[in-house]
Amino acid sequence: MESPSWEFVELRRQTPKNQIYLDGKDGWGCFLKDVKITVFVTPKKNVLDPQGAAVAHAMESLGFENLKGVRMGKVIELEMEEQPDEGFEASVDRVCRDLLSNPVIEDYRWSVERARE
Amino acid sequence: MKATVVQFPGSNCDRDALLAFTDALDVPARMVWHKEVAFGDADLVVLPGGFSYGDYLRCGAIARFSPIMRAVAEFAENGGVVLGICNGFQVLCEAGLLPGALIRNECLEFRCRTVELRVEDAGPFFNRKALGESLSIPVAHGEGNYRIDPAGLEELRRDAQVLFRYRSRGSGGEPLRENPNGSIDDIAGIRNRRGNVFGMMPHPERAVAGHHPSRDGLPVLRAALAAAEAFSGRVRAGSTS
Repeated sequence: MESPSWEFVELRRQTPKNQIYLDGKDGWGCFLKDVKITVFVTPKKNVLDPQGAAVAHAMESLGFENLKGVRMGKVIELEMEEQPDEGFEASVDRVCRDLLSNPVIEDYRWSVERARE
Repeated sequence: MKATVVQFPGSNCDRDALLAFTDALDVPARMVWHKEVAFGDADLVVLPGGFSYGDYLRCGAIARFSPIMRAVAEFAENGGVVLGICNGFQVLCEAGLLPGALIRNECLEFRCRTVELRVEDAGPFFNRKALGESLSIPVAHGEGNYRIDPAGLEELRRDAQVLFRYRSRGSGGEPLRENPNGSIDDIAGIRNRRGNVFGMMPHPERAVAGHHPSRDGLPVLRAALAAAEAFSGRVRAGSTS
């Protein structure tokens, strides 16, 4: 099966709780079919990031100027089948918090794309 | 006393840990595969070093979801004594059984050498009286850089939860840089507040025999066994919750 192409769903706002809401007029039921969720995990601002520091050092060696800092994290892509209800958001948050990130040292945020019609 | 060593896919210090108990300390020990849901009548549970699940995602992050970890969490909840060594320490932090987290060594190198540890007074079992002032024990890790927020660090200090620090001073007071990973406050090992869950990056099981760099791992393992013995005594007296 060919993998679908994806388009970003318009994001309305981002809350401090890292939840990203979708444009309200669509409602949940109509868009949530074969969605791709991209989770971004980054080291917390006040946590030392040795990898980022090393990469910053290398960038300076390349002559890349005015660098203020480099932080390295990871990107995790999840493809999911249709999700029926609003519990979807909470379940993505839960998997981000309990597995994909370690809240002691990392922050996360995520965005949603849907399969192009 | 009976010790149980949990074996995850990717554990590689499991047999060393087992032999440290059976051969060096003459304590019965057995291995339990991570898919088991119980470990029987163990007094001490050891999570060994290694690279459980290839360190995928984060060190210890996947092992935390192994079936046996539910039994480990329950055992600890009931006061049972758990010792996590290296990757085992990472698993305990990921599982929330110990505070804080372990990140990449500040130097970005895998550090494999024998380090000098300062023993801290951290309760009735891990202290200078039982272990001596200083221990010489190997470390071997790429991610042993202990991190915790300032409030958490303050709690660790206040409640005497730091078991060992990498030495920053020699016996004559001269500066030493024994910290191999940049861990905060030179922390090499901690316990939980209750005092029944212990985690450390150095490998006591690699310091128990004549061909090892030292035998300083023996008092460390004996301290864990003493904690386990105290726990078992309380169980027999029916005083644990």
